[in-house]
Amino acid sequence: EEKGIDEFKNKIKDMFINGLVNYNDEVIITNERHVRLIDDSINSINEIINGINIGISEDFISIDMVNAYKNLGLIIGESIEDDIVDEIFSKFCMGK
Amino acid sequence: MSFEEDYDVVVVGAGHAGCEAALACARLGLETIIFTVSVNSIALMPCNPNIGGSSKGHLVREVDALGGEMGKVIDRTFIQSKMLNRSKGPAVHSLRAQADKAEYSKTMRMVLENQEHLTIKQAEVSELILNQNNEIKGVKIFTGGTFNAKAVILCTGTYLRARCLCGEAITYTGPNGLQAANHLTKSLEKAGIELVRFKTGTPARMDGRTVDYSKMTEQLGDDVIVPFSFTTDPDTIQKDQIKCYLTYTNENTHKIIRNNLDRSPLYAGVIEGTGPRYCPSIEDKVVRFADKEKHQIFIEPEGLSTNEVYIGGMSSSLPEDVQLEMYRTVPGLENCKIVRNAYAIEYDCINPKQLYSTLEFKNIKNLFAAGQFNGSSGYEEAAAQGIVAGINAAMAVLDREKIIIDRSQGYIGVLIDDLVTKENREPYRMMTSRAEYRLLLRQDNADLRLSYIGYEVGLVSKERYNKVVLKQKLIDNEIERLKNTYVGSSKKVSEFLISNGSSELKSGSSLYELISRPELDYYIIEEIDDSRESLPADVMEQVNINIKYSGYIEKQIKQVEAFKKLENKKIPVDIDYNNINGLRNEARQKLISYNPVSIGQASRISGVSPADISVLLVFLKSIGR
Repeated sequence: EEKGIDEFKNKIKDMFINGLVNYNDEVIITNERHVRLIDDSINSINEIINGINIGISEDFISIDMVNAYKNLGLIIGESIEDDIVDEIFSKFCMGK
Repeated sequence: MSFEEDYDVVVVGAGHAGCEAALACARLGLETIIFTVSVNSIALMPCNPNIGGSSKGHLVREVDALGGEMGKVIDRTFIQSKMLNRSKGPAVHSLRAQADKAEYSKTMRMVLENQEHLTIKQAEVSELILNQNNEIKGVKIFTGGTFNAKAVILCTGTYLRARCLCGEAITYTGPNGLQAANHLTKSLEKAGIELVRFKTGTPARMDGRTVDYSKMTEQLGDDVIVPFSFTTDPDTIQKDQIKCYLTYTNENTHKIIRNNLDRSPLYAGVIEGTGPRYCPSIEDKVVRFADKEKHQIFIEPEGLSTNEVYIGGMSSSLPEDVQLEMYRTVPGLENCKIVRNAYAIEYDCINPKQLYSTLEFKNIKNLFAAGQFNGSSGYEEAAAQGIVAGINAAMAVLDREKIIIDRSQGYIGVLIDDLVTKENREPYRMMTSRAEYRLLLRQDNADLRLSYIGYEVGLVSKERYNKVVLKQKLIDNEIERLKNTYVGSSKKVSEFLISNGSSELKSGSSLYELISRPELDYYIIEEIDDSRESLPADVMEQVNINIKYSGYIEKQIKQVEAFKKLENKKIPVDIDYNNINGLRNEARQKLISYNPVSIGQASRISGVSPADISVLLVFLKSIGR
């Protein structure tokens, strides 16, 4: 419909001039799937740290490491899951 | 005039693979004949005098769970037994037993000789017989006889066109001076089978009377001996054990080796084959780990009826005079006399990507392969492949579904999948690090994991299988009981907790939760577990492990679920990789070459990247899979 685009643009301009937009050193994750995977990885990494602190065997810690690695890998395309095709293509239109 | 005989299954070779394969087929009621160039050397242990060890012990337990024989024979013929890695987690506990070599071979041979439906014949198999559809029809032996068969299993080990090298001296024999098998290779090549040449080595054997043990450290067996086979009653195998000894090489040893490398066939380029990376000769070790000041050497007796001892960690292909000089620099071996020289052996074997995960050749129906012929090393690796090949050959003849053990079900699965899916440039040796699901694939639960396959196939009796089912039930029931048994903050409980370094309870807690605390376990908790009834030791062990590691076990089970999803995404047999856009060229070539059956298997092929897998997934989706 293209209504309100100009107001939207002006609003962003105002926010920027007033220092309300932080653009310096933040990594912005625009993808909800990525957010979920990063959260899972952080959980696994915390478990790794916990495991090392309480002194459990490396075999257990390696299980968390595999999980963290896999979740991060799903973001950058280094790991595969069987439904990755469904996941990605459900989020946007491929067209015919 | 030559003669002709008919059998259901022919097994070529009576080493550790051949014996398991032949016994499996015969026990499933098929008329089986096993050929060997030397009946006296059935189940020979041509190298180290032990069975088991890290990850190999797992394989022996799994072979046993399927109904195989190796575990039973070593339980009857061991002379020392030790559970390794006791101080580490249960995932890497490994049982290892020193064998009386002569007794092991004799005992396995008697099992074969007394097995119904099994014929032993001393002869060299020289030719495969195929029909025009490239299906196996039987074999011919060198002396002319023809043996028709519905399935053939190749277990030729290290005998095909074998030659042994001891410095400059080359003999055209198999291990231990036995006759090599020189004719079959040509027939295999004619059938379109791709062969490669591998090498492996063995150390010298010394006269034990000339070894000074006072300069070495004693290595004793366990006080309480644990059996390999799930069918062996532990009470029947407690006995006196021999000692092994530990000593080390030193700079003098290394100097002699370095000065003579030009006389080592490996370094003088005489040996053609590729050697094992994880079982290197002492020359390899000294060159590759040049900084190491000393290497471990284990002196292991070869049996109760001989004085010969095996020098573990010092295999070599250096010349005889250099061997004597270098061995005599080792503390305790200064006056040693060599009974058998160390030597390297080269032999023909296959690139196993030519096999399915059932160990059947992709291009030749009903021809199976197992053991070092497939490019593996080790007795246990051979036995594991042997029983799978034997079962599947039998299934083929009986027109039943073949079995595939995958990476999440057993070390056998890891072994076979690694062989048929990965690039193997050197003899393959099993290690715990190769298994992704180590926590689930423990040697203590092999029976719970795999007995059902042995039972369904017909190698494990109903009686034995019912015992396994009962064991699982007892474990499950006990865990359930502990989840539902609560203790409060009574004086007795508080004192118990404090005395064990554990924090007191503020409110009631289940025994299950208490056992999960790092400082407690199932055994310690008995003190405050009033409703506990006595259970067999192996049941208690499983209860303890399952509770203490439940968090990580759960995580690993989830990993297996993800793994299975990709394994179950099958790739159509008639897929044409040339018609799929978006694959990198290397990946396309590899996919055509390996012809994987599933997305999971495809993802493990080196050269196939996750991006290529995504392309395949999209392709499968587009054709409706």
